[in-house]
Amino acid sequence: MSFLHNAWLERQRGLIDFSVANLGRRRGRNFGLFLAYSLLVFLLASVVLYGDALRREARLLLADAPELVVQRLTAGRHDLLPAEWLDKVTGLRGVRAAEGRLWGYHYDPAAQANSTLLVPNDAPPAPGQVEIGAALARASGLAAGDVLSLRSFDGKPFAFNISRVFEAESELVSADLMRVSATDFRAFFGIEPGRYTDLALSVSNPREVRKVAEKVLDRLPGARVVAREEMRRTYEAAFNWRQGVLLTFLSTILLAFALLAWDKASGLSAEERREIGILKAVGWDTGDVLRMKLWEGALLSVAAFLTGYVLAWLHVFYADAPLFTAVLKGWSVLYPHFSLSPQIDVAQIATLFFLTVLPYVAATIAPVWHAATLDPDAVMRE
Amino acid sequence: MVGRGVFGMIELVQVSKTFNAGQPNEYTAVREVSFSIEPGRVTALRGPSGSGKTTLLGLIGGLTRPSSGRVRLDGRDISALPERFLTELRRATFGFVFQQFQLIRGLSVLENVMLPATPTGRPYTEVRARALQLLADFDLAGRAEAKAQWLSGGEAQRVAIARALINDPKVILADEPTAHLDSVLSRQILAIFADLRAQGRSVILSSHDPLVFEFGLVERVVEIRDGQVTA
Amino acid sequence: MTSQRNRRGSTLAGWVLGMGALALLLVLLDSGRLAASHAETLRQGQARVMSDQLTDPALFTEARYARHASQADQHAAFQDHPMALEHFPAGAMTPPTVMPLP
Repeated sequence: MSFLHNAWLERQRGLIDFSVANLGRRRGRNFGLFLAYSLLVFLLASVVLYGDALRREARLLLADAPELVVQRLTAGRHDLLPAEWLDKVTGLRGVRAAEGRLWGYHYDPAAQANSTLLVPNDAPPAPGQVEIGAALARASGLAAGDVLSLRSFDGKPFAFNISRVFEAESELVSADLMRVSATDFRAFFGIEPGRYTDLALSVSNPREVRKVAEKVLDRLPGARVVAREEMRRTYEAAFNWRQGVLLTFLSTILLAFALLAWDKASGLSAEERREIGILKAVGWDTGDVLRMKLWEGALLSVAAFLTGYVLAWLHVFYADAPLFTAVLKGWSVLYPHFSLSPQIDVAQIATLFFLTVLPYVAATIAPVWHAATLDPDAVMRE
Repeated sequence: MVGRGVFGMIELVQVSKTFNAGQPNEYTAVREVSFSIEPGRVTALRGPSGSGKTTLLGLIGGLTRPSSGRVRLDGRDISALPERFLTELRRATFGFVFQQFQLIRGLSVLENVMLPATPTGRPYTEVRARALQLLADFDLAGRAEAKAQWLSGGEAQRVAIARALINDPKVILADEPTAHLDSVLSRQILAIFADLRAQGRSVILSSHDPLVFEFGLVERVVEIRDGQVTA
Repeated sequence: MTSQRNRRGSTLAGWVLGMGALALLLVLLDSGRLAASHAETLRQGQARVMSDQLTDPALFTEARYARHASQADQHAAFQDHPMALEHFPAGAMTPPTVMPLP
C-alpha cells in the first residue's frame, strides 16, 4: 500500500473528508441547495439540448428541399403563376429540373385546424382519394378507409376517400398534409388549369444557386425567388429566437439562484468564521482552508450539474420534452408527435458546466478568502 | 516522543501588543514584556482576567504577531516569519488547548481530533490510529463517534487536549484549562498535563485558579497584571 | 455507532462523483444509440420532403405564415417585431375568439 501513499494526495483526501463532513453537517440547507441547483441545470440543459436537437432535425430533414422556390408577386402579394413561367425557367442554364407546385391552405371549421393541401408530382393519389398527415388524422378522428368531407371554395361538398395516413416517422414535416390529385385540387379551390402556386427548381451545381436565382429574376421580373439557404436561416432564426425567449425566462431563475447561492455562500455566519479561525489556529494555512471550501463548493455543484444534465437528457430524449412541448405547442390543434436525436457537443457541455459550476464555486470561495487570511487569535479572545 | 528536552526555548523581548491601533477603541493588551521559558517544564502565566495572559499565549504560539518586540523560539525570531512558517509552527511545534475548547460542532470527536493532521498529509490510517489511541488514553474510547456538541465539559477538555497532541508537538499551550471544570475534573486535567511534562513536553498554561497552583505541577510562575510582568 | 466505522467522506465523494461521471458517460454512449435508432425516422422524413417537395416543418400550423415560413412574405416569421415576446400565434396559449358561423 505504501506506494499509494502520497502526502499531497493524502492532504487533498483529508480536505475532502472535511468538506464532505461539512456538507453533511448542514444537511438540510445543502440538500435544498443541491435540489435548486440541479433544477436550474436541468432547465438550462433541457433548453439547450432540445433547441440544438430541433435545429439539427430541421436542418437534416430539409437538406433535400427544393433549392429554389419561385413565387409570383402581384402588388406585393403572392399570386398564382401561369404555366408559361415554368417553360421560361425550364431551359435555363444551370436548372436541372423545374416543376410547378400546387398547394394551399384549408381551414376546417369543424376541427378548427389549418391544414396544407398539396399535389405531389411524384405518384399523386387518384382523383377522389386523399392521403392525410397523422396529426390531422388524430385531430379529426379519421383513419384510412374513412371519408373526409370538406367544403370547396364555392360551398360544394367534397368527399374524399382517405387512402392512407402518413407514417408517424415523417410527422415533423407531414403532420398537417392532405395529398390530393391535381384534378381535385383545382376543382376544390377553383384554380384553372395552367396555373400553379409556385415553382420548385433544383439546381445542378449547388454553388451556382445565386447565379441561377439572378437569371430567373432576369427572365421573370415579377418573381420572388426563395433559396433553400434562406429557408434554413429563417428556421434557425425562429428556433434561436424561441430558445432565446426560453433562456430569457430562465435567466430570471438563474438570477434567483445566483442570489440564493450568494446569500448562502457569501454571508459567512459567525459560526463559520469561528470555525475558520479554529482551523487556522490548529495549523491549517489559508490555502488549506480555501481548498477545503473549494472542494465543498465543487462537490456540491459538480454533483448537481451531473444530476441536472442527466435528468435533462432523459427529459428531452426519453420523455419527449413535455415541458417544452407545452410551450411550443400553445393552443395548436395540429401538433406533430416527434422524437429528436441528440447531437453531443463537448463545447455545449463545457459551456453549461462553466456557466453553472464556476460562478457558484467562486461565490463560495470569495468570502472565505477574507476570513481565511485573518490572524486566528480571535479564537482565543472569546 | 519528544524526549530530548533541549528544544522549545522561548524568549520574549520587549513584546507589546496593541489591538485596533489608531482607532478609538485602541487598547494595549501586552506592554513591553520580556521573559523566557525553559523547555520541558510547566510554566504558568498567572493574573486576573483581562491581564493579558491569553494574548501572551497567542503571541508565544504564533497565533498573532507582536506590535513591537520579538518572540524567539530556540533563538529564532518567529515574530517576523512569513505566515507560512507561523502556520507550520502552529501545526507541528505547538498544541493549543483553548479556553472555550473550540471543538467544531457537528463533527465527531474523532474528526475533531484528526483535524490538525489533515494539512500534514500523514497517512489517514496512521493518524486515525493515533487519534483513537489518544482518546483511549483519555478514557474517551467510547466517544469517538459522538458529536462534539454532545460532550460534557470534562470530555470536551480532554478531546481538546487530544486534538492538541495529534501532531506530537513539543509545546502545549493551554488557556485557563480548569475554568469550566469542577475540582475533580480539574485535577484530572492537571494529571494529564503532568504526564505530558513527563513525556518531555513543555506545558505553558494561563490561569488564576488557586487549584492549579496548589497541585504542585507548576514549576515556574510568571505573574501578569495590566499587560506587564510583575514577578 | 461504533468506532469501527471507517467510512471516509472522500470515499463517499468519490463514489458520488464516480457514479455521476458514469451516468454522463452512459449519456454520451447513449447518444450514439439514439442517433442510430433515429436514422430511420430521419430517412422517412427526408423521403417525404423529397417526394412532396416540402420546404418547412409542420411545427406551427395555426397560421399560414407560420406553417410555411419560407413561403410567406418577406420576414414573415417575424410578423411581430423580433423583440416581441411571441410571434407564433399558438404561443399566445389561448386561441383567438372567432365569431361562430353556421
